[in-house]
Amino acid sequence: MLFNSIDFAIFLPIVFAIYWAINRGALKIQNALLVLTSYIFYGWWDWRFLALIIFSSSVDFFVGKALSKTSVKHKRKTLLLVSIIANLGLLGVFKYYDFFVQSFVDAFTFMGVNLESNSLNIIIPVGISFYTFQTLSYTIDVYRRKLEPTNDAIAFFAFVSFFPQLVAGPIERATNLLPQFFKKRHFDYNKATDGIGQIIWGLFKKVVVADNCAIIANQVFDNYTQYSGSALALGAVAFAFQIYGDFSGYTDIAIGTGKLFGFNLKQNFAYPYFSRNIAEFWRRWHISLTSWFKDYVYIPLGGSKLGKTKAIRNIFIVFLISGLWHGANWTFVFWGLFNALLFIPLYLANRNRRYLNIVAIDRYIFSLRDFLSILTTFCLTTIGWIFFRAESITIALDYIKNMLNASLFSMPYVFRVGKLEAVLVLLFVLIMLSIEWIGRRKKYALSFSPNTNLWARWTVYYVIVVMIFLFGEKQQDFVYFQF
Amino acid sequence: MKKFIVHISVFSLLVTVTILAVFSRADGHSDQFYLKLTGTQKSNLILGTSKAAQGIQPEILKKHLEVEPFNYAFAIYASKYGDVYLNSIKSKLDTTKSDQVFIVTVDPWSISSTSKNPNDIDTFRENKSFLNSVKEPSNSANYNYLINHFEGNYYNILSKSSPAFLHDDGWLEVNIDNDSTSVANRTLFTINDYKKNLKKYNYSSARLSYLMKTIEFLSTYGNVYLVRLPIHPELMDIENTYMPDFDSKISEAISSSKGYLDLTNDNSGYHYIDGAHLHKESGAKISLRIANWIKELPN
Repeated sequence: MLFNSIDFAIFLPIVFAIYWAINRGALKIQNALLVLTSYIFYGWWDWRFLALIIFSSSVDFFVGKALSKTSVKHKRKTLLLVSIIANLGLLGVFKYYDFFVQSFVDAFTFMGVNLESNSLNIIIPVGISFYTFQTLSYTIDVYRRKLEPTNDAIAFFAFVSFFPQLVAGPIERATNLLPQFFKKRHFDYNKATDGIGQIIWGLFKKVVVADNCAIIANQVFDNYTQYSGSALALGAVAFAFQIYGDFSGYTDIAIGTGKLFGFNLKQNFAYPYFSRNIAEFWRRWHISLTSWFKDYVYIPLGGSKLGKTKAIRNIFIVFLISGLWHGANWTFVFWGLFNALLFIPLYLANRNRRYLNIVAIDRYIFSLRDFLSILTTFCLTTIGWIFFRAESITIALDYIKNMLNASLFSMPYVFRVGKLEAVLVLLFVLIMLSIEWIGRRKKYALSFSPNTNLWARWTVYYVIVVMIFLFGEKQQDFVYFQF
Repeated sequence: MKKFIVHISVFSLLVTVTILAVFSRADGHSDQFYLKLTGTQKSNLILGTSKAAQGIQPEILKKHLEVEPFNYAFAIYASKYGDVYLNSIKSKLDTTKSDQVFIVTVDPWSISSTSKNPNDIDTFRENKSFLNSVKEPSNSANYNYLINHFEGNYYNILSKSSPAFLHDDGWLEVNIDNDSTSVANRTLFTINDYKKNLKKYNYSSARLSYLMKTIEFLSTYGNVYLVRLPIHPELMDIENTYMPDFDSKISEAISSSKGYLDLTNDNSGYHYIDGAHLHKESGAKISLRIANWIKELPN
C-alpha cells in the first residue's frame, strides 16, 4: 500500500479509529491490532512475503529470549550468529543472489571462460533491507547487553512490522521504538495535529516536488544520449530533488503517521542539501542508516581508534556496504566509493566534524562562504546521484562526459516538458527549500508550536493540501521501496 | 479526541468542496480524453489511436458529409483494436441511429502487441488503461476517470494553458511550437522512439480479429471506411520494415469495409508536429480528402 494512494487514505482513518476506540482496553490488544494492520499494509503488495517478516521476527524474538538465559560467551556468540545469518541470509538470497551470480559469470566471461548463469529471478520483497536491519539491531543490542530482551511477542512483532516505517524506514533501533510498545499510549491532540502537519508536508515533498522532478529526470536519464549538456545537468539536478523529496517525504509521512498512533520515530533527514561539506551531508541524509552502519559496522571494525590507515579502510568499507545496501548493482557500489573518496580528504584534514550545527544557526541568512560551500556540496552530491540513477557505470560515465562540454551553457530543452511545467517544477523546489530554510532548526520544516494560532496553522495546511491536489502527480512508487 | 475529530472533519469537508469545485470546471483544456468519456452517446465515430485523435477533424467531415461525426480515438496504449476498445465503442455508440459513417483508422501498430504472447488478450497493455476502467463513457461527469486516470495534474483544469484542446466533437487540437527546429527535434525523438520500441512489438492476429469484430459491429449501424493516415517518410520506412505485408494482412478487413484509403503514398505532402501526428492544417486537408473520398465512393 502506498502512502500516496486512495487505499491508504481509507486504511489510515479506519485503523486510527479502531486503535483509539480500544485505547481503554488492554495495551496488548492495541499492539495486536498494529501487528494485524501492519501485515495487511504489507500484504497489500504481496502477501507471500509476509512469511519473511514473520520468519525474521520469530528468529530474533527467540534468539533474544535465548540470549537472556545464558551468559556463556561462545553460546551468546552462536546465538548472535544465528540471527545475523538468518537476516543477512534472507537479504542475500532475495536481494543479492542474482547480482553476485551474474557478476561472477561476467568476471569469468571477461577472462574468456563461459559459464552458465543460474539466476533465481526472484522479486525483491519490498522493504526487506529496512526491516532486516531493524530487527537485527535488536539482537545485537541484546547481545551487547544494551537492551533487555522482551518476553512480549506481540510487542516485538509490532516493533518489527510497525506499518508507518516498515517499508522505507526510518530504521528504528529497538532501544528507541520497542519500549514505546510497552507503555500505555494516550491520545494527545497536539501530537496528533502535529502528525497530520508532518504527513501533509511529506506528501507535498513526495507528490508535488519529487514526482514533478521525476518527469524531467526520467525523460533525461532515459534518453540521455539525445540531450545537450545543460539538459543533462538539469536532469541530474531534477533527480537530486526527486530523490530527496521522495525519500524525506516518505519519512515525514511515516513519522507523522507514527505520531497519530502515539509513537515517536527518529528524525531521518536534517536538511541535507544545506550541508557545507560531504561529511555534514552524511550526518543529515538517511540518518537512521548512517548511524546504523556507524554503530554496527564502523565502530566494531575499530572506527578511527586504530590509526588513520585502518580508519580509512573502515570508511571505505562502510561506504561500499552502504552503497550495496541500496541495491544489487555496481552503480550503487560505485556511488558508495565516490562518496568515500569525497569523505576521506575531509577526514584526513580533520574537517569531517567541522559543521555539527545547521548552517546559519543564529542568523537569518547564510554568508557568501556558506552559500559557496553548500553549492559545492550539492554539485558533488548531484554527480554522485548520476551513478545512483544510471543503469550502469558506463552509462553514468557517458552521461557525465556528455554533460561536461560546451553545450552545458546552452538553454536546456527537455522533450515533452513545456516551459510552464519547467517553471512550476522550479517553483516547487524553491518553495520547499524556502520552507526548509525557515524551519531548518526544527525536527521538520513545517512544524508549528502548539501556541500557533489555530486558523493560521490550518490555513497553511489547507494551502498545502490544495497544492498537493492541484500539482501532485499521480500515485508514483517511492524510489526507496526497491531497496 | 472529540476536538480532533471535529477539526479534521471540517478540514476534510473544506478540502472535498474545493476538489469538487475544481472538478466541475473540467473541460477540453483539461485533459486529452476526459470529454470523450462524458456526455451523451455519439454516432458516426472516428476510431484509432492518437494519430486519428489529432489528425481527423469531425467539423470538416460534418460540413461535407452532412453527418455529425465524433472522434473517439485515444492513444496507442489504450485504443489498439481489442476487447477493451470494442467494449468502450459499444458503450459510447448511439445505436438508435442507422446509416452512420464510421472511419476506422489502421496502421501496423494498431494490430500489434507488446505482450510476450501477442495473442494473449489478458496481457494486453490497455487492460490496465483508463479505457478498461471507465465502463460508462457517457455520464455527465466521470469521477472515476478524474480521480484515477486524469492525465497530468489538476492544475490544468484551472490554468487552461495546455497546448492541447479537446473539442466537443472529440478532435484533439494541438498547438505547440511549429518552428523547424522544434519540429525536427520532436521528429528525431519519435524516430528514435519507434526504433527503440520496434523490438517490443509483434504482429497480433488476435488484434486483427478484433479489428474484424469492430468492423462487423459497426456495420450493423452504417458504413465502415478504413483509412491509413500519413506519417513522416522516415517513420514509414520503419513501419514498412516492421510489417511489409500490412495491406495483405488486413485484406479481410478491407473487403468487409466500404473502402480503404491509404494516405501513406503521399507522406511527404503533409506537415507533422513530431513525425507521427499531423499538424492541424494538414489534418484539415486530410479530413477534407477523406470526406471527398467517402462522397465519391459508390453507395
